Amino acid sequence: MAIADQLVELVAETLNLSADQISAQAGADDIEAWDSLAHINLMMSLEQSFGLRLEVEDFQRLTSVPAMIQYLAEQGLVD
Amino acid sequence: MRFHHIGYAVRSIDDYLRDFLDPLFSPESVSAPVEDPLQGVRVCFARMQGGALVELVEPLAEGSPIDRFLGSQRGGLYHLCYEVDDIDAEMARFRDKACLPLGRPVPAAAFGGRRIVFLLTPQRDLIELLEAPGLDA
Repeated sequence: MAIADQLVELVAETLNLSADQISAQAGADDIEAWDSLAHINLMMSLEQSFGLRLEVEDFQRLTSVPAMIQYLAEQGLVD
Repeated sequence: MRFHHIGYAVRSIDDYLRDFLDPLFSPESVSAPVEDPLQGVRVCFARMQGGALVELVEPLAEGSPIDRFLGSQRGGLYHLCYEVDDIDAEMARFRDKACLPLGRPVPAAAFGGRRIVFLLTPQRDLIELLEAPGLDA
């Protein structure tokens, strides 16, 4: 499975939504369930699933699927 | 590291004290509430019989981080707090155990400006670390 698809599944699972409810452009502003507590859970899931170590400052920029994909690319995890 | 207190999220400190804590548990003492604008909360401390310290945490306004928590089905148990001598070193130790810091350590009004930081454990428990008083405190 491509990393982007993995990411969408991860976001959906963490927010208790189905993957088809998460578009490739989705972000916290578009999804009601993506509130501040859900975001922290998402950051935790992101670390655990991709073996990352996020900085506190990263939480504020990783608020959408494209931003996360960009971050994963910076970490060398996306082709 | 020393256990310091249990944090309880409540909608209203006054209501919770009057309707629940006082009549059921008769705390030995209750501190005056203190506002902490940095955390967006108002807090007070109840010394329970047996010695445990309970912090009641009330949102200062809508949108406070604990607002969402209060709307969940999880109940009021919010966090466990531990007092530590070196908050930065302890943060690193927690980080090595995959705990996620929710911010950088910041001064807390409820503790006379001593720094606090919250961390989420991998099983989603919220832990607060509280810097011990300095030698000159």
